[in-house]
Amino acid sequence: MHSTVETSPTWNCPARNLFCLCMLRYAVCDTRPLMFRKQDLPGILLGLGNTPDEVAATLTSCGIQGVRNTIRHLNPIVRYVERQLHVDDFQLCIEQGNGYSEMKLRLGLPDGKREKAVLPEPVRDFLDEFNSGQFKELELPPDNP
Amino acid sequence: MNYAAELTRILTGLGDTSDAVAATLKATSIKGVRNTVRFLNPIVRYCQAHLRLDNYALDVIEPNTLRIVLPSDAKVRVPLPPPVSRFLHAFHRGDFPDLELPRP
Repeated sequence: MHSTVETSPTWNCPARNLFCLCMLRYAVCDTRPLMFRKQDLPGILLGLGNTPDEVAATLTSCGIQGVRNTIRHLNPIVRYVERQLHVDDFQLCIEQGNGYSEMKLRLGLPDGKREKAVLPEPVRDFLDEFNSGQFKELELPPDNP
Repeated sequence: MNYAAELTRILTGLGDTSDAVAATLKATSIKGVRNTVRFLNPIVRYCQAHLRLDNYALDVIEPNTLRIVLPSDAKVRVPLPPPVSRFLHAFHRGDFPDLELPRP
């Protein structure tokens, strides 16, 4: 007489075992890479607000300031997006495009890929007003950048 | 602009101990992600917030060194002050969870 160990058929299922292994790995260490998703950029820009004043209020609440007539790190919209993106290596730049309504935010990734998002109208209008000095409280002080 | 002097000024202003560095970051609402070397690194983020320069790239790829790459491709390296280096090691180890950005 020999003893047998009864095992559940599902326990021996390779797919289930693989699933459990994956879940255990996920539980021990969340190793999801910090990826950029194409939909991130328009979503972040739309989240700034529906009017130039709302955009300014969002920047104020985040403690974001900038410098007039800049298009990269010192631009307040670029600074806001830099804070929102969960990506370690990228380049952001405001592009004028073909006219005012074509103003875009361009993102360059290290693999050479480029994404562009048209600036929503409230953001364009905000930048226009910011660059002409209408949001002085959002300007970086010259002596304390 | 003397980039090395400006970066050194910013870095030394962070504090004299790793806890002081952490307190400065907290006071300025700067958070980061462990084991990152560019935009998500808390020290890089702090320097970006304080540099008055529109076009550049910053990283801490090299050990205990902050590097700025300029549009001309010129590179300037400054050593991280010891308290900042100690803070970064501790941050990467997970000693400052309150300074970690939540995952999206």
